[in-house]
Amino acid sequence: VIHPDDLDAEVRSHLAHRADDLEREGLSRTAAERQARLEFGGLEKHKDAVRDAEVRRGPGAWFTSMGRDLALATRRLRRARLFTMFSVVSLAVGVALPTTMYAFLRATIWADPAVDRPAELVVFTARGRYVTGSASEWRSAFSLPDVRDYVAAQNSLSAVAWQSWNNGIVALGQDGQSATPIGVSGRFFEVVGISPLLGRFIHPEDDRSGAPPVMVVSYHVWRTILGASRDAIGSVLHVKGEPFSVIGVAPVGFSGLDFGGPTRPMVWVPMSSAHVLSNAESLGRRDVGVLTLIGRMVPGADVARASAEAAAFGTELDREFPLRELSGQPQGSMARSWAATDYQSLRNAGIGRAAYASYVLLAIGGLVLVVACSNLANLSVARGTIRQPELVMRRALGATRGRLVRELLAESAIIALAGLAASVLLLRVLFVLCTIDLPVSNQNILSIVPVLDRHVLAYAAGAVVLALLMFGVEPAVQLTRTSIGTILPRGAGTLLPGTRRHRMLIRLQVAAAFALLVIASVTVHYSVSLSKDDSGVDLDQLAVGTVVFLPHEQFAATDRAQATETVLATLRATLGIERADAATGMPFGLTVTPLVQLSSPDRPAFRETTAFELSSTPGYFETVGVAIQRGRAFTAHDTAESAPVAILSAAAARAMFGSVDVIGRTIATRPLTGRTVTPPVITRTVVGVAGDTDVQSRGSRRSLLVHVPLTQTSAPFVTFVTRGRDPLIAASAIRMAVARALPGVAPSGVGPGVAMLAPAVPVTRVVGAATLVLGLTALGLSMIGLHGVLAYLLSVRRRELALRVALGATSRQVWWLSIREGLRPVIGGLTIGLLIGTFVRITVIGRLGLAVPALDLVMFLVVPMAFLAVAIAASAAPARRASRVDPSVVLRDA
Amino acid sequence: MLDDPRALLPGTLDLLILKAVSVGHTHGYGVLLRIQQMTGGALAIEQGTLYPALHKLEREGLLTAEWGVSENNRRARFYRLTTPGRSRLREQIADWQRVSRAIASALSTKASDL
Repeated sequence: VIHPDDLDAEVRSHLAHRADDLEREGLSRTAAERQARLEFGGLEKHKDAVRDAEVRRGPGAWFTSMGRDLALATRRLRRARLFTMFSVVSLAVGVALPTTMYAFLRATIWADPAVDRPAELVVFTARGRYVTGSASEWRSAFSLPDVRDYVAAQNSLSAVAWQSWNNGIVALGQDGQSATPIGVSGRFFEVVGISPLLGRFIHPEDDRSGAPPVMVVSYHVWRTILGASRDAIGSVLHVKGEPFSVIGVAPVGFSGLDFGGPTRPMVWVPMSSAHVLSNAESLGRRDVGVLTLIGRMVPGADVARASAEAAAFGTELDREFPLRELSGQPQGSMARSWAATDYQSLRNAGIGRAAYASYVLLAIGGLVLVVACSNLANLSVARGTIRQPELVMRRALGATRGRLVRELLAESAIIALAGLAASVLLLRVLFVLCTIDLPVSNQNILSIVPVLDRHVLAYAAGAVVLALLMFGVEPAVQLTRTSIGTILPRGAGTLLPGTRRHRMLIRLQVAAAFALLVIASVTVHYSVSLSKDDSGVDLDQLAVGTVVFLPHEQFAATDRAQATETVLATLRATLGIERADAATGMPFGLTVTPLVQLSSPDRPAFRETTAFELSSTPGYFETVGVAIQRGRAFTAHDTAESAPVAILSAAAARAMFGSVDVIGRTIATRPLTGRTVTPPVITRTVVGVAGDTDVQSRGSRRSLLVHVPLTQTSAPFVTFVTRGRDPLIAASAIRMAVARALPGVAPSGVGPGVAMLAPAVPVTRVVGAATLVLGLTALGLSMIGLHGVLAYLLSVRRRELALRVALGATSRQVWWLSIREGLRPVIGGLTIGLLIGTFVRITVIGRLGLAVPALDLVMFLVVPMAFLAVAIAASAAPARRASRVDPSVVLRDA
Repeated sequence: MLDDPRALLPGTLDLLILKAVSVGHTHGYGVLLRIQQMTGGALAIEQGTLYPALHKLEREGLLTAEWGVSENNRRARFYRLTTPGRSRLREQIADWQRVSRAIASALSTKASDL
């Protein structure tokens, strides 16, 4: 076997000898060397031919030849610099962006639960314990006496632990930093099964009365309040004036049992120190559930058994300690309805809507990869087509097809490796950019820390393999399929078999890029509409605070009304507060607003639908900035004794009656509760139509909203809302007014309206920006690719065009033909992309209930125009050249 | 290609190379020159095709090669005929002569001879 270096040296020696002779004939040395090279012909081609002719044997031969293929491929790629650069960049971007998206999702929605063996962990639930209107399962539903009885009796779990309802925040640091304190039982961390980052967790000894007060802090608290210091263990933090010594720091991902929502800075204290918790006074009561109960199953036990045992025990407790009905609600006995669910499925259910959004995001990322891949495929087919005559020639000279495929693959492999390396570099940059603490409300923080772990690497590698298959293997097999018989007689430069595939690839690429933009524009639209703040509610000057009247027997309906009036009077008298009103929540952001089943005796065709019923005081609409479009607002004459009235949101009016001209129509509402007793239907007369607002969550207008007077409903909670120049001062005024009117009751969710009700803005802005970057990248990639490929396609058709000119076509006709040729696949791609994109867009908007128009004219007009402009630009230059071809020259050359 | 009067008949390149090397060991460029000399410039060998052929013969064991220094004082790879190469050359010369005699006789045949 000739070593490649020998071959090189031998050819060089030949050239030198020939140049010597030519020099003797009188040429200068330089001229002689040049002449020698010319006579010899393409050096590399000959070397390839020599290599092809070699027959290799032996076990080492495969590796030797593979190494040689790689070396050769490197040399070839170095010669095709532009192709190589563009391919590597395409691949790097195509891999890095979807991978970042994936890592982002893994760091947020798809994060592994921060508990040990989640499948063995069970979480107990109860149904319908609370009057939130929600019939869903309730986790923080267990009272301490009930739990103690259960722990003594159960035998399907190896360990049981509980934590208090994580509501409310306490000041911790000197700079007003705060955290949510959670009381946990002594075995809580043992049941969760994680190890501390620093120090130790709470042990059963810490949970005895008289034990020194200790505290475990979350990673976030350790970082922000304790300065991420290793000496933090043993330092003292004060909660409500009481000193707690820090004994441990929880690991990075753990911020309490995570049921799919954002997390907050947290501290954990033993239940023995529970008197510092906001709901401490409820802890001893059997009829108030404030604990979340969790357990580890004994080996071999299953959730069904644990659940059955809990249900049976709950029934037993119901007999022994029946729970009283909450006042103001229909009479009937309340059952505990205990059940157990495995942690994993509860968490998945909590992720719910976010999971759907995450698939959309992942798909958008995937489309970028598709665009990049089709770009690469286009490029490699274009390049391969140019090389095809050479490949055919070499096959004829004895190179096997496998050999040529391998050689082409070696090039692809090098590009893939370079692309992977470049994408890892790019990933590092993107990851740094993506590592942020996003505030999602004044309490909750979404700590995003994308990590290049094995999952993410595997994803990136998978993307590269996919790309390699698409741009490497398939074109290589295609290109080497052609035999010498089909290619040589036609000569190089005729219409090549690659053109049809090119058109298909262009179509795919344009379709993917356009569909991607159409889908991505949803998130852009969404975040723009959110930041424009058209929630329907004028949030800027609002402050809110909610009071839950617990324990409930202390507050009869009249007491609640009285307390509400007292607080409102205090607030209205406060300097800086212009208006103060009360309601059972807000149209969005606060979930206490109850659900009702809404129907209309006037319009039987309208199917009973779930709607939000928001009860409010007369001035509420003006306070929150919702216009009354028709009819009137509530007045002081709408009382518990007067005829029931309602104000429909414009959307609800249209949904029910097909117009907003609905004053005087009747509607019927039936409260939705988890109880067995069906509550009565209340028939109300519509007296007004209010402007539309977001409903339930920010940016969503999917649900219907019915307003009713606060005096005509009865709910054990009330949200105070004020309008004034300084919402922060107003918030503290709410706190003080409540404390004065209702000693012992702490308002929750107190703060400025923007922070409390529209916290999702930064998150959606980030997601919107991310998808916009993805969309624009795809657009850019596909436009560059489009330009290159169209120009190439027309250049290979030169001969055919020349023939047309020879047969009498005018240059104008040829120019048009060329332009049309370029536009055809682009228009095809745009049509496909539009159909797919619009379909997905409408589906996504529907599924997520976003307040975004289904059709976006800008997107549907501007982006296709941009594509067409690039297509025309790409076709124009070759088209002009084509229209000026001199047939005699072109046909002779061919 | 066939229009070029100096083009080589297919299959004859190996024969010419073996013959050129049999006269005395020489390097690739030398083989080229020797063939031109031997054919009086009547046959042209495309320079690039020479090396694939040389290496093929080397692999088949008909030639051996080693690096040496040429008359121009340059490093060059010298080819030498092996014993199998020598017998292959003899066979090929015999074959060629038989074929060429046959073709010559066929071409000189007149209608009256048949």
